Amino acid sequence: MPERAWIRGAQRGSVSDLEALFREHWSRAYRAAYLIVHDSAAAEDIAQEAFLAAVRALDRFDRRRPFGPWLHRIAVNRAIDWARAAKLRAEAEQHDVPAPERAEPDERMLPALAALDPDHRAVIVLRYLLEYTPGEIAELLDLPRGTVNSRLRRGLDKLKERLE
Amino acid sequence: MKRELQRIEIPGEYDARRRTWEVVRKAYAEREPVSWPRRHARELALAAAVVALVAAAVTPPGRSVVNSIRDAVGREKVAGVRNAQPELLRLPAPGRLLVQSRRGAWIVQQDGSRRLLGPYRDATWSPHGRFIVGVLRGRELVTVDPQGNVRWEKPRKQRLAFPRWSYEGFRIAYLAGSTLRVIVGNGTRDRGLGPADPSVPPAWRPGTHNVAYLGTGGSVRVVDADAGRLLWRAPRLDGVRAVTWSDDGKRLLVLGQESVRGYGASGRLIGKTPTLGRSTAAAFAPASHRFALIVEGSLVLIDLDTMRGSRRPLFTGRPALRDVAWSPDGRWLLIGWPAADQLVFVRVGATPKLSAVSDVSRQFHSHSFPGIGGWTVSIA
Repeated sequence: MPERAWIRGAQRGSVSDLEALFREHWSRAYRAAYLIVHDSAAAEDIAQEAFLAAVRALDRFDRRRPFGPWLHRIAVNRAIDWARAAKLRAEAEQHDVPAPERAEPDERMLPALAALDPDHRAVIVLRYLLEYTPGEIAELLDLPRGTVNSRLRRGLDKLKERLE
Repeated sequence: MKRELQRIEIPGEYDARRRTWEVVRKAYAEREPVSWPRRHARELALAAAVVALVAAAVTPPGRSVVNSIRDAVGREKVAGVRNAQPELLRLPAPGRLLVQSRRGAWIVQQDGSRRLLGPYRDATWSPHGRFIVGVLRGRELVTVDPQGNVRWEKPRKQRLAFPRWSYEGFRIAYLAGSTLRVIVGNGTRDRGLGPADPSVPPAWRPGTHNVAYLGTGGSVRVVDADAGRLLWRAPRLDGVRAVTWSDDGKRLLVLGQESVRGYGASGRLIGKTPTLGRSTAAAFAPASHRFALIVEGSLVLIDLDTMRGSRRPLFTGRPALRDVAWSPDGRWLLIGWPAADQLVFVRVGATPKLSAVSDVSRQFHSHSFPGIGGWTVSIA
């Protein structure tokens, strides 16, 4: 499994192994954060902070554990916090999102996602972008599995309404 | 769905990736790599212990040594809170934490991001969390803002400890050698108030410039710092660990080694109770006369007015817990569990809840367990 070898290499000081880990995981962490916060600058900060946390914890990281879920847990939880705070501040989260009725069919997903609560967005991103099972999502977000399932169901229903 | 989510175009993705890699690469280059023996210290220590125990157990003197070690360390294994988070990702309540590690004072924001303020010791928040006061190199009193910018510093010849702000931030009491001193919040008019025990932090009575501290004779004294006048003195108590006022300034708690005494603002004894063990820390709940108390490995809640406590401990962590701080909203308690290397958050209320963060020393770049310097409000 190359990921274990990259982690081992990075623990021993290999920049190229760290870069391999970065290449493998950054895009998905960044995209997941963006789809939750809908702000590219915030998503960049969140993905960056997740990787910095990974660098800080590198020496003690257990190589038997998969790196992705650990990184995604940090990124997604931070993104949820950011999105909740932004909602509280009543920031216009959709300012750079085109209005649904004028969008091309494949551009309707982002505004439809933006209309969901951050918690619903997060479970949909984890399930359908990062492809975690509901059980794994429950573990990542420290939630009961039933809550994950209900958020998925409600989120998907709302998405469907928006996209139809 | 996956295709749709992957197809969404994110403005500036390439540049974001390039910038992030630069930051991550730099952080990686600046980190201090841990050597193989240190990285595997736990496994090595475990292996060494197993070898030593097996070797020891086969001889009669060895068996005796094993038994005395068992008696000394107890037979419980310190496992820590199960499902503890490996990283401090967020605080369960609004506010900011001050954490004191060997590297210095750290501020932890509610989202878990942390900043090393500088190599300060005994750091504490100002009343509204706008500043921090700490001790630099043992002999300089320093105030900084949360970004780490120094406001003023005051060097002294004596060893300094435990600076504490008054309720509105206009005074700071601190210990210089064995003397209690008070300085104005802008770093001027520094004056001595009298001999004090340097092991116990002073405590300002909220709403006043009266300060309680442990005198060198072992009794707690309350003085008007502006007039330099003794207001009252409590009877001597053995092994005083801490003095602390309730938010309304009507109750003073004096924490002895194995007992607690509560006083009214004018020095009347309200109540006392033995703690049935070595007590190490206490903190009043916000806007309340209830206080959280750590007695060895137990966290309990006690009402000072009645001196009655919760029937069962809110949390137990053997062999000992350390430090206790309330969240500003009074719903959560934060305690340190050094043997498990965990910070433990305990929700207080009808439905108690627990969450913990492990591997705390590493997160604050320290080889020893860090201390909790306080949990203050967020700056709006």
